[in-house]
Amino acid sequence: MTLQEALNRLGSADGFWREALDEHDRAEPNAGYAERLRKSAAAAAQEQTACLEVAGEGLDLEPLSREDVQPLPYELQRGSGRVGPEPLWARFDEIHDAWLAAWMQRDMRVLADAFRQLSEVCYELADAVDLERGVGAKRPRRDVQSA
Amino acid sequence: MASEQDELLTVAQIAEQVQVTPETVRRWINNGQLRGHAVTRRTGYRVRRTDLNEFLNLRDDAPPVVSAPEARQPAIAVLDRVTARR
Repeated sequence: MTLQEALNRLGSADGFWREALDEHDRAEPNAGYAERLRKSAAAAAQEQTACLEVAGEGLDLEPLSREDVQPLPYELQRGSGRVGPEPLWARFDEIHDAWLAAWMQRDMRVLADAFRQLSEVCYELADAVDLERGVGAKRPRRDVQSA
Repeated sequence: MASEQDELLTVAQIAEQVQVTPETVRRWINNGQLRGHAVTRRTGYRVRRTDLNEFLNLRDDAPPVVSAPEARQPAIAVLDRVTARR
């Protein structure tokens, strides 16, 4: 893979991630919640892969300042009436905090790992939400590379 | 697949498209008028088409260009934060 290809893939992953978050922002409460979580999980996994690729090309992250770091959409935040098991959301919150912190340091691999964890917990939450609502069988997780 | 708006352009490509010299494009980037990514010394700057369109739309003498679809609250792009390793 060339540097240009790695950057293009990162741009594409950013677009997918932005689209997934936009869907959370625009969504009606509850309807399609698990599917949005699943899409965010897939997008985070794509970001993880792309971050690792650019890291492999010798690139770093220009850290954001605390005030510039953007939290995830409201329906994923504490106190928004999230559906699903609380212990899993507590883990999500820890991972989310680590993901925010990852934007404030230089190592692209740290951000990649934060996206990996975000992806994994979003897949788990999506499955748990479906289970809680009696929707279908658990879907297999995918697209997440091991650390 | 990268969308057209995510496409990364070189200084030379922008210069040809906008009909200015590459030096002018680099000056826009160095002045902070046009957002560019100085990836490495070897490869030079890259500019996202979205950023180029936004820059051109702000210029009075700019040719008409197609605007990028706007997200309500855009997420920070990792690509915008890529920098050469120190």
